[in-house]
Amino acid sequence: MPTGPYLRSAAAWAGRFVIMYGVMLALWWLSAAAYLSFLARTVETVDAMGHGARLLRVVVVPLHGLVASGDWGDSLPIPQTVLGADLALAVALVLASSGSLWVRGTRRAVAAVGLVFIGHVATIVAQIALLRTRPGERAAMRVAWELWVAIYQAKVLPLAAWLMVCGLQLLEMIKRRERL
Amino acid sequence: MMLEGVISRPVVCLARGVAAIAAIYLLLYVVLPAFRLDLPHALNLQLARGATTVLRLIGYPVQRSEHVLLLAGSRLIVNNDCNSIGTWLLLAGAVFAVPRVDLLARLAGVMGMAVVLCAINILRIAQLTYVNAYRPDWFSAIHEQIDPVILILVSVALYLAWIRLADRPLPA
Repeated sequence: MPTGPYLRSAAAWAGRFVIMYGVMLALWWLSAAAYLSFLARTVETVDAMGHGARLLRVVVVPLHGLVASGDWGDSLPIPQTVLGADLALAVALVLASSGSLWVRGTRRAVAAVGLVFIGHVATIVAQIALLRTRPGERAAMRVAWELWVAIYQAKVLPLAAWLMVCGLQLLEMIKRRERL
Repeated sequence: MMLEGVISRPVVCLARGVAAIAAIYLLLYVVLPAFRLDLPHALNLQLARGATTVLRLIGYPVQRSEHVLLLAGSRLIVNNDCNSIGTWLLLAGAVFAVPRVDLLARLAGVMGMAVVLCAINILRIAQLTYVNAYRPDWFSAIHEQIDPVILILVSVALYLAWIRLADRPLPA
């Protein structure tokens, strides 16, 4: 396969992605309050389902993110910039990889936001569960959590959402290009 | 591979990638520390040293105490959140997930990517030290929203470059 067209299409994709990411970050600042509020309520509900009682309180701190407090001691801050970057990145990756921005692109973007939301809820609930365990208890769970933190910081959540939403299309595209 | 006859190939590839990530992580954070060999900590120290050199080369009077960088009265601590081992683990997983590539090409890819990521991280830490000292309002956005995306784009480019090199037929 010649390198020229490959590099040109990669550069075009990167350009589309950078523009989309900037737009999504701007959109995030407009919609952050609603997302954070919904995330806080969902985390409280999921945590209560596991205990049969509300032991957790998650509040939205405007422009900063969430603060979770409960029966384990120190409160847990969850920065808004990290959550926003995950969402903006997932949607920008999906839109940059979708030919059409309208019906198909929007449907995929909504699916990506849903997947990242599920990932955020699961991550926060898992962190709170870990905070409730005593040091030295559940060593394997702590190792698994540390591994998750390492790859979470590498943005595995938006990357996984992108692959789940666009993976098959990307595989087909790679095969098609290999045949050219 | 016999397993591929039973389970579909994407599942085998994914399992191999996840197993590689878990194995490298356990080696770095559980097995080696048990023998008093803390490679991530040593890496953080080298990254701090490299960023100090870069900042001094361009004329900023940065001071370093172990893995803490001091510039214009502000402190930046280089810890395990800064060394991009997570990004490298994902790349390693993706390298081991590719089917029909020999082990040497995989190891060369993983090590080469580690070297490039370290070089980028030195520049990133130098940049964050500068931003923390002179533009603290921008620190959070650059640290959490801009730099990770640059790292992802570079990682994808590295991975695609490795795939093209690994896919090239050997000279006769």
